[in-house]
Amino acid sequence: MIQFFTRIFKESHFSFDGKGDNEIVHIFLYQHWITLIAPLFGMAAFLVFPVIPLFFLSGFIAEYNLEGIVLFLVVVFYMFMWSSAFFTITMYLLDTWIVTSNRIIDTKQNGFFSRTISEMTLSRVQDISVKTEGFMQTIFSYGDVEIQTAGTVDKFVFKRVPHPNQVKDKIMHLVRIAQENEGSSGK
Amino acid sequence: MNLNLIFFIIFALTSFLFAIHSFFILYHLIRFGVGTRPKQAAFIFFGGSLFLFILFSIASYALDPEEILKKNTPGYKEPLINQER
Repeated sequence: MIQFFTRIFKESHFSFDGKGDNEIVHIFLYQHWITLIAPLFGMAAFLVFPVIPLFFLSGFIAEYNLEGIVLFLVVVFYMFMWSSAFFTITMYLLDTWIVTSNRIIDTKQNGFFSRTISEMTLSRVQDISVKTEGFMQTIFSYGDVEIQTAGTVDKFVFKRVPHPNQVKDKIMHLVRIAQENEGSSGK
Repeated sequence: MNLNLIFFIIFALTSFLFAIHSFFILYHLIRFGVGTRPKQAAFIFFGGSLFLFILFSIASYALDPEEILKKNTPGYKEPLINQER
C-alpha cells in the first residue's frame, strides 16, 4: 500500500498507457496554465461568497442562534466547490499531447469516465502550422499547433499549448528523423 | 414536516454525493493514466475530501434545528414524535 502511494510520486512524469519499451517521449504537453487560471479565479471568487453574509449578518446569526445551521451550510457549499475544483483540474491534467520517437498521441478527456485517444505515426506528418490569436495568446506565448497528415482530411490540433513555435520546430525535426529512418529501413 | 428530518435528508444526500465524488477521486488515483500529475492531484483532493467530510460530520452532529426553532419561535410546540411520554 505504502509502495503504491510512493510510486505515484516517483513514477516518470512521462509515463502513459501503452508506452512501448523503446519509445522515447520527446514532447509532453498540457494546455498553457493560463487556461486554468480563469476557471480557478471564478471558483476563488465563489469561495469568498459565504464569508460576505457571515460578515454582514453576524449579529443576526448570533441573536437567533443560527451558528450551527450556518456552519453546516457553509461546509456543504465548500464540499461542492471542492468537487468542482477537482473536476476542473483533472480535466486539465488529463488533456494531453504526447510526441514520442515514432508517434503523436492526442488524449482528450471529456468527463470523469470518457476520453478520446487519437494517434498518428510521425512519418505520416505532411505539414504543421501554428495559430496564435489575440492579445492573451501573444503575451503569454501560447496557441494552437495544427498537424496535417497524408491522406486524412481531419487535422490533429494541439489546443492552447505553450510555445507553439518551438513545438512545431521540434515536431518537424522528429518527423524528418522518422522519415529518414523509414526510408533507410525500406531500402 | 419535522425539521430534523429535512436536515437528515440533506445530510444523507450530501454524504451520498460526496461518496460518489470520492470514488471518482480514487478511480483517478489508481488508474494508469497519463503521467503522474493527475494522480498527485487526486491524492491531494482525496486528503481534502476526508478533511471536509470530517468537518461536515462534526457540523451535522452539532446541529439541532429543532432546538433553534424552539428558541426562536414563541409558543412553539415540539412535534409529538420528539416528546417524551
